[in-house]
Amino acid sequence: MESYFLRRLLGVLPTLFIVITVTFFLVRLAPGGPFDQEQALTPEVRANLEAAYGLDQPMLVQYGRYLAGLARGDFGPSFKYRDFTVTELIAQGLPVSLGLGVAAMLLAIAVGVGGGILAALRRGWSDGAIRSLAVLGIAIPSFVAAPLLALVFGIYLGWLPVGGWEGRLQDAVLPVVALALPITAVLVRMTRGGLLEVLTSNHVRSARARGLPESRVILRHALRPALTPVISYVGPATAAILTGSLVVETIFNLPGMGRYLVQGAVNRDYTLVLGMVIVYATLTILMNLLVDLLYAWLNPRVRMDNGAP
Amino acid sequence: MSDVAALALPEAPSRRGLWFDAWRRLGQRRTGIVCLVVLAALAALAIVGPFISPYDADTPDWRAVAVPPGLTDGHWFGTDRLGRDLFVRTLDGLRISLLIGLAATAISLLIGVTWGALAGFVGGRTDALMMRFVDILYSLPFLFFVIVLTVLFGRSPILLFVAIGAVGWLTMARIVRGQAMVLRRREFVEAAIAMGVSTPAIVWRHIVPNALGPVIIYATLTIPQLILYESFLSFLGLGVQEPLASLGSLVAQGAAEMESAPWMLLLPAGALVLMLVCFNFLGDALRDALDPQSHG
Repeated sequence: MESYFLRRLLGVLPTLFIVITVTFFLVRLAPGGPFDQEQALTPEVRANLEAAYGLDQPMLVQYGRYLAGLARGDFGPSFKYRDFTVTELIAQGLPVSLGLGVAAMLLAIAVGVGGGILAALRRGWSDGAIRSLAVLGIAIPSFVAAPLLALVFGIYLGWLPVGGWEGRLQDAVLPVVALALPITAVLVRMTRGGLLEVLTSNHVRSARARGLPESRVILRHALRPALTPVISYVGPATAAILTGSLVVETIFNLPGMGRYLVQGAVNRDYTLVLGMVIVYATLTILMNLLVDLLYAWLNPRVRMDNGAP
Repeated sequence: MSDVAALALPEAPSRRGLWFDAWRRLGQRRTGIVCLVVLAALAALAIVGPFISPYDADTPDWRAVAVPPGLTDGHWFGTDRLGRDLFVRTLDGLRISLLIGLAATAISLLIGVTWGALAGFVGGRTDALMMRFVDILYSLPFLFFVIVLTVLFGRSPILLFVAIGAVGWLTMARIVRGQAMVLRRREFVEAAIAMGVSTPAIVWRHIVPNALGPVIIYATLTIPQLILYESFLSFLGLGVQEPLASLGSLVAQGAAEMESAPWMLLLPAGALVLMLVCFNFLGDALRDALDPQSHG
């Protein structure tokens, strides 16, 4: 187990390094610069600006400096938010985004797994209803669900605030629900499918034959194997939540990281985009690692492999 | 190429050939057929719709700014804040979203099928390396790279579908690889190897056509996913640019006006969701039809 853990942990570093390098050079090699959109700058001003941000140095020097900065936790200055460093912007946005994401993930797992179990155990109309809702949930994108939720619960019913962020619990309800919806839908399907399959397997039949009560059969014998695919889905779900947060933060006007990435992208604020992509990639990679380790812990066979599938 | 076609779709299917059976089973699933019809209708509407309406997509109608939907004045879906007809704009958006979705799916098919078939057929270290690459890409939030790409290289529709297509091929590669690994051990492939047929020829003439069923199923499910990506980027203002409309950009404009003019949000959003739901149901129906063993 320890060697597996160590190997996976070391495997993260090259991936991260590749992500940083590729993004850095993509950003720097692209035509156009961060100072293009302002009114035509005189060549001297432009040269001064570029010198101030180190953009006049050779590419490799810039890359080396960026890496050295990163090692100290310094993502460089933002080109557009002149008074802030990217690190400061990340420090502002990350807690909000992270809080929303974790809440959405927990909600999705609770409702999704619960709904899936319910659908699998009660065949009939409730099963059909839950399945149809799940298909709708998968097909309705977050950027449609979020404004619809705001329209219905915020404007027509007036139950919840539709924008702004004052740190109150009710400010977070609609964004969290909008983020959780598509993942809940997938989890319902997965749990239902997995459980139905396990319920026909031999070990469940023998547990029933031994006269165990049904609740014990489900909880002790069926649920654990049925939920292993759910655990491996948490990795992709993290990516989905991070992506969805871009939209949800824009719609509900929340001060998270997603908004900075979108604005940075529109403004061609290179260092900001670079920093955001690195943070998002790190979050996803770490989450995937966590999921893999959990999976290996539950499923000892995985550990025996040499990493390659 | 004719051989590929012949293997894939025999012109005169025997009474109970694979594809004949698949069509029959698809016909028995009402949701699948309904969705196919709805999608065909949507596509037809997207193509001819703009000619039915008396208005066109860009010209503002200053006598009718932000009017709600109605039948009397020809603005069936109402108009937006600039007096542009939303019926025509929604259909334009539908067409662009469909086109980008289909083109991007074609690209992801091309990359994914080639990659997966090669990896699965060649096997060994090449396979491990190629699939490790897929694993790494898989673990990244790839939409972020599309965002970076679209920002950096301008926002042309061509870049948009190339970038989106380059994102969508990973799962396809995994599915095809699995098929190829099974097919590699079949007698007719072994025979082809023994006869000295080259690897690319075996992959294209024997592996790919025989893996076509899962490929079709997954392609049907890839289309809505890539349409979703496109709409997502357009929603953020990073995709299709004005004056062109995409369903995503229409939803974004509608969301900004939803308090005073909910139809600007509801109609394009409805069109998008209808299309996505139909593609998903169709994919499920196809899976049941082509792969009777699975009950997903």
